[in-house]
Amino acid sequence: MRSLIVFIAVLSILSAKPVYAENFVIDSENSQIGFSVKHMVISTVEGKFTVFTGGFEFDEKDSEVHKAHLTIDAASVDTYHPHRDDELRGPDFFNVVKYPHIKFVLKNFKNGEGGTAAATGDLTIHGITKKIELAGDYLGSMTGPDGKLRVGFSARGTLDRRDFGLIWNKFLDTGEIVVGNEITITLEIVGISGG
Amino acid sequence: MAAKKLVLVALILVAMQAAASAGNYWIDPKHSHIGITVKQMKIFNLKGKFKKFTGNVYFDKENLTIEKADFTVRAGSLDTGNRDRDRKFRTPGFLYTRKFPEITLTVGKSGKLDGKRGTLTGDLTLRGVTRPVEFNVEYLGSGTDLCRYKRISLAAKGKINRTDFGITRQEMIKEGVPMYGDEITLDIKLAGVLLDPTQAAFKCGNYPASRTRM
Repeated sequence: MRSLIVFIAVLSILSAKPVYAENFVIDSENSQIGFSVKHMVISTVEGKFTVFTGGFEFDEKDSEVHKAHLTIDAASVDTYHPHRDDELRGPDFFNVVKYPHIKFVLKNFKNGEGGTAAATGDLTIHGITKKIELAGDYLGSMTGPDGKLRVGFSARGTLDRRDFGLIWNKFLDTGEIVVGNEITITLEIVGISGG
Repeated sequence: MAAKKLVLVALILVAMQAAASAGNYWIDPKHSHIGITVKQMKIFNLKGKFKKFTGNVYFDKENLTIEKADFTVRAGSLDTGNRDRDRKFRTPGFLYTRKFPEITLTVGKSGKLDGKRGTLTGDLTLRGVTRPVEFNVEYLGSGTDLCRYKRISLAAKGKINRTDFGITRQEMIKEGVPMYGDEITLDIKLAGVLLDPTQAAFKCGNYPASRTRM
């Protein structure tokens, strides 16, 4: 009887989900949520969101991200030109009064070769949720000056802004669009263990 | 005699053609970026941008030659996404912006791009120190915008070691792990608008306001 209890106990430990996964809070001071878009086909405009919060569950043993979520303050869009940022906040673009947040929830994470990873998640912009694919690199871990463990990822992905109802545009004489439809997302994420 | 005249006219036309393909492009700050990346704690990527800069590129579109270029960057306009850090980077241990408010880059030697790419050397003056820096340059194309201004796009990438410019301040996280790396990657994206000599100023778009102010 006693051996049965031990057996069940061992079995339950073995079948439990890995317990190594730790909670990390995204360090907003050292992370960057960047994006870029083509201007007149040839040029590039870059920007970022300066206010965001999020976290993830990370297992350092197998470099696996189990859960991740990110909430971005849409009004914090910063393309280094206040007038343009105002337009982006307005009804033609993000409409931040109605849709104050951009959200990302990780759905699937898969490690690849040599520290690379592929992730899919649900991205909500402008009240519309679509699946997005991200390609990333695990940068490693380091204990910071406060003694807390930090882990870092670089990730990028693309989306078509029209999928999220962000359709505003103007046309050149050649028929080409002034503002590109494809948006490139560039993430630099640093997570702090336990926050 | 008539034939000679014709040849002369043809030569002048050819010369004018060559001159027409070369022009002075004003760097449009609204569609240009001067970005930097530095390693933080050895592994993380800290990215920043200089928000204020002006520049001109003398570019020959037909021959894909950058004849000269000059940029002036407001050192104190560096934005790394954290105000305290940006303030720190303005102090004497880093950019020392009170003494060296401007960073300049001058490309004086003509550089022909091989195809659309090429290598170009410019003199970078940073924190009062001038040193040559090599850039990988790419011509991304041309177009005409809604104001009918002729535009070009160029990208340039380079690397510098900040200690070469006297930016030596360091914070050690622990043995062998500095807070900020010495190597800084420069990532420059330029949108140039052709300055028509007959135009006193840009009359279309919101350019007059941003043309010279820095």
